[in-house]
Amino acid sequence: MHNKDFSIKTLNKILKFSQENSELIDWPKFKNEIMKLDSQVKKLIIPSEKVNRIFSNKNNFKNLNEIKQFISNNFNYKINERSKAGILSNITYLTIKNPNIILRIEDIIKKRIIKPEALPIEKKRIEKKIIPPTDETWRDWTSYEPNELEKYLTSLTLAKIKPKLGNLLSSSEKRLKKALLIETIVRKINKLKAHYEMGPG
Amino acid sequence: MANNITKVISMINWKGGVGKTTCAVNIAAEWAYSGKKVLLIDIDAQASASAYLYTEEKYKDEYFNPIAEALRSRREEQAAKNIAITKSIFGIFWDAIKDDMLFSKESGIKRSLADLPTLDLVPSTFYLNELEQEITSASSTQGLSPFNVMKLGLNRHQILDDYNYILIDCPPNLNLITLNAIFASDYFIIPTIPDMLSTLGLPLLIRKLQTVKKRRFELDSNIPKLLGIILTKISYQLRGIQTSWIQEQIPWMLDRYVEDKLVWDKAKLFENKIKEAADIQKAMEYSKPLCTSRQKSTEIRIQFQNLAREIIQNMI
Repeated sequence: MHNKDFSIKTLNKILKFSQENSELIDWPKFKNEIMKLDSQVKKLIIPSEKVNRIFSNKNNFKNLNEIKQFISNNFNYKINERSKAGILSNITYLTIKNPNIILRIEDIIKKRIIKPEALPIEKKRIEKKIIPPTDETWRDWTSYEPNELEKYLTSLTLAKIKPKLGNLLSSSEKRLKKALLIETIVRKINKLKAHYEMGPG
Repeated sequence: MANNITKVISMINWKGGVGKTTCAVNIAAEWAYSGKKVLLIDIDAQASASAYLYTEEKYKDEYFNPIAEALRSRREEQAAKNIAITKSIFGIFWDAIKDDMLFSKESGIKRSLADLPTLDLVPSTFYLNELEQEITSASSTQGLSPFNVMKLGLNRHQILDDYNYILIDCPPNLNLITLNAIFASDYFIIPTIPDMLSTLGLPLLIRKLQTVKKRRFELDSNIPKLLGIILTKISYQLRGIQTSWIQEQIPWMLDRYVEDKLVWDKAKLFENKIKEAADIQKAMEYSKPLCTSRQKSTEIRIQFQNLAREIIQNMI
């Protein structure tokens, strides 16, 4: 009781002083301080039982953001609090100011269309990284068809490709970016295979 | 071949300008320099090896001018032919076709060339171009295998018995004359510049020989063995491209041909390579192989010397 009297008495004193000495007050700063106090005071409101029951039910609201969005969309009241207690205190403050609001909240929740259950998102299949045999060389790649080879080389990192090249490519070709390097390897191997198969018979 | 001691080797690549003649002359000379009895047979109608070893001046006087002159007056066509028959490789083919002995070993084999007592040469003539038609008609009328004519001719004149090595310098084509040279050989060697077009000689030749073998069952011997590939005209400026061929692409092709049983399993890329060098041209101007030229102690000569040894080692 003492706290309550003291607080109200202090607030009244501040109010009286500011009105009597309005010319001495830095009003922009005063406004900021008052707004902070207003916000702080709203946080101190003990949430009403009804508010607590409605907004703590996970079937109604899945998370705090959903609650904040609900209040903002339906009652044009923005809650800046992050804690659950702070949010519920703000809603209680709103319902105290306008008792109809709690009825409307109950009404909206009842009428709310039950969202169809979202289909489980199919997890992306992560293809297993191909680990090439350690003794593999470019000679082993000659058994691939061009498309297969391109696909296979794309699945490897540059660090895995380069040591297998030997002297197949020149040093400047080896410095190419991955896509161009793969294109060059595939072209060179195709050419060599054609070269091998040249001739009658 | 018929003789157990004599080895007959053809130097062939379908591509021209790869160093066939230079290799043939210098390898033959290196063998002769080491005391072996060597015969170089030139079957290229351009007669490059003949002009190189026998000297251009002598060749012109003894072969080119008389044949060209005789051909100019149509009456003397036979005279032109007679020079070709008695004094060149043409005669060895001719005698096999006609069952004759007109080729003269005395005048047809040029002996002790380039200051090497054991290096002999059977020259070629541009008249050789006429021979293909003769072989084809003899094949149809006499039932002679068109690929064994040269082999028959060499046996007929007992040329094999006189030498340790016979090296045949082939023209850059795969016509009937060239195929005769290959089928008269125990081995063949492909000189090539390590680049895409020059190395085409390898697949083209190997597959051509397989085709001939499949179609011609009358061949009384197997396809001669590919002894190896000689890399020529190695250039510092082209090292990036050439290294790729030397270290990766040619060995890959050779391995696959061996796997597919298209070539002899000892076929190899010879370790000793021939660099591009001005000394080769200088020696050629003097009609001397490197081993008896002024450039005999140069790096390029040592390359040929080592290569000649490596080839013999691979035949053993």
